Amino acid sequence: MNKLSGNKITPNEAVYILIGIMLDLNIVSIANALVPIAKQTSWISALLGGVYPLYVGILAVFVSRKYPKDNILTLSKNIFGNIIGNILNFLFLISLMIYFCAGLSEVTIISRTYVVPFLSSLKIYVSILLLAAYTASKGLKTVSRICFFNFIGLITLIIISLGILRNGSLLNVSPVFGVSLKKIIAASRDSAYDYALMETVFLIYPLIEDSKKIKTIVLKSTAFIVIVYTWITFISIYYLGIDIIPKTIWAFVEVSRDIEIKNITNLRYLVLFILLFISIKSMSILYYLSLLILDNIKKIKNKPIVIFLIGILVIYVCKNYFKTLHDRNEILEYAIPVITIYNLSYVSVISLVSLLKKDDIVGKKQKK
Amino acid sequence: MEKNKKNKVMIICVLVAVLIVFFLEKSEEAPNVEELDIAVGIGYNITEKSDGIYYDIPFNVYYFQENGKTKSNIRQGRDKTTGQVKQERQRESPRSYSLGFEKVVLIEEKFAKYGIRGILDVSFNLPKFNNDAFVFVCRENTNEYFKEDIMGYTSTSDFLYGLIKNMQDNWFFGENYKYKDLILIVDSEGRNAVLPYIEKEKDEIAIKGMALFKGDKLKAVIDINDAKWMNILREKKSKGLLTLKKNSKEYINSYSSSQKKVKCIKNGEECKFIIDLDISGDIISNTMYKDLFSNTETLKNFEKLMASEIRGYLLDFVKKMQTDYRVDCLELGKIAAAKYGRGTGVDWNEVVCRSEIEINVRFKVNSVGRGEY
Repeated sequence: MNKLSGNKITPNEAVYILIGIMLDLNIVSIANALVPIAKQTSWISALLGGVYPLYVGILAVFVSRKYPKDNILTLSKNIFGNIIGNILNFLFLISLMIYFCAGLSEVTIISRTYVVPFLSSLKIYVSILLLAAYTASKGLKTVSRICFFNFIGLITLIIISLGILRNGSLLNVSPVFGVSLKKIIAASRDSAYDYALMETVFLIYPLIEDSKKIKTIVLKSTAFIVIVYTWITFISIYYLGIDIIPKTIWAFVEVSRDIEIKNITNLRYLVLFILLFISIKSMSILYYLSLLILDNIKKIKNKPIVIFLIGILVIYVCKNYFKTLHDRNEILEYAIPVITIYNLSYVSVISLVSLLKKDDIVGKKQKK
Repeated sequence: MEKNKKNKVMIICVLVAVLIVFFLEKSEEAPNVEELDIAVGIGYNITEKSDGIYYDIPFNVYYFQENGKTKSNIRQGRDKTTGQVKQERQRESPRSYSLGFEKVVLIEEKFAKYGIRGILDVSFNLPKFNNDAFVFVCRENTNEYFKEDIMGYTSTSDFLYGLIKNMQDNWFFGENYKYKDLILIVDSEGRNAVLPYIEKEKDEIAIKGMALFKGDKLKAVIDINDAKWMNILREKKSKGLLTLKKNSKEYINSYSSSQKKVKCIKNGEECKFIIDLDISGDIISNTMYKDLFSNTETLKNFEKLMASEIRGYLLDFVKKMQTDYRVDCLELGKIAAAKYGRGTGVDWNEVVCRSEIEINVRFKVNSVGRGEY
């Protein structure tokens, strides 16, 4: 193992981080979101949904070329001035926090359903957040390391899911073009939640050692994510069929339950362990990014206290507004379109303005 | 130095907060295994009374004796809804239950005719429920089976579990009679479940045939010979014994494996299904031909004869299915739906019963064992 040294991350680590930030626990329920609309062609919708992170990533490539040292927070302050810029940044932070709470509540509900029904949700919140907070406090380098393990876990998950190929049937996925193109595109719009948070590439690109490589970073991570989502959707339909998926809540967990691999009797727990790990990793990244944004808005003097306060806030929100699946879904139903539109326009406007302005806004500001 | 001290105070604060959460929050106690009734078999019965339907759901449970032996027992429960049965059952049992180790689920025929959706729902909701339990349909009340004391087995559930596992190699049975398959099949378009049907005869439990479902309701019960022909047509790959018999002294037994391929053609409104069967068999007993392996002519003749004999039985079964049972137990609708679109509101059972089904059988002798006597 390499020793963790330096503040900057290598391009490979950046790929792992971007995969980690986009890929949350929603891999287990992506089929549930798409199948009611796009039926057996949902996997094509999942494939098309990749346009969203690709668009954001390409914007980031152009912006990072012009301003390799400034992240989007600084750019927004330079364009809109300190006050409006800070407000916009703060709204971005809130969108991250909503994903944070949604993710934490989902992992708690899943683990309470499948593994630890005897633990109260508060205990699960606290244990997960402790791990996440510790990782986040150690800096981006540590976060990238946990993302690497997450990447390995994902590959394991996909290899395990190959075990279901024997039991399912290609008949479930056909006829391939039995659904109108309109519905496929409508469903791919619904996959925005699964592909969300690619916007954070704007936060981390100044921290990458070789910022010229950001194009490959973006392409690699997007390609991987698209493959994972498409595969998971495909395998869920392949095994369960489109009539059964809407009856489940987490289709992929049901798929993994029925995988038979010789000598592994309790595969379900292995899968849930990987899922739990995926979730803890997401929490760590979001924790770290929240700190990053807060630090940009107002310099943090005492980091532990801020970490503690974020934890308390997240637990409070989760306990009161995200406790049951029903509450969570009801909030997300309204919040996700708003967040997605806000994040997209925030990123697009700032990139376009900073790209179109001829003189170097950052340099000017610094000279003053 | 100052900062370090602050951090340490902070860490202690966090730890104290965490400890408070973990000790003040009341947690549910998970009981020891010795204090649990471990359900290995679940039975579903139904009784109709003047004030409505009563669900009668006994559990076949293990209990561990002090001398180290394990015995099984039945815990009764009866009430008006499946959920209430749980609380009723607890009234006459000193222990709590542990699900997740079920080996078999028995469904009374009457219940199956009434509809098994309730069963599927209550167990689908329980994350602990064992998806790998085998499901049977039985004629009598399930208590009749559970109270049986079978030599060499702790409980009837263990006996039945072994029974179905070994049917796969002998009667062309498939392997998808598990609870998880039932979930996948019942509500899928163009699919119908079939389950092994057991009966008690002279104190012996045996598989007597198969129960055909249409949706969640039992439609027909067929005997074991019909079940064999159905399985050949239904399973993708299957194994079992085929016999060509002239009289009681002249016969050939062949232990065969069958492979199925189905094509669906649509002309206009009507569908046509072509089922190609590729059967290859090992001769295990031959008293009919003297020169089966030395003479190619005889071999060819035998193969043709066998194929036409099998085809005759299969066509008989298909005719019975289309006129008597009126249910698509061969899952042909699934293939048609995959080819011509889903969710169009077509009743595949009707379509399959109406349409023409062509069967082609190819029989080939594989080997003759170590020789002919």
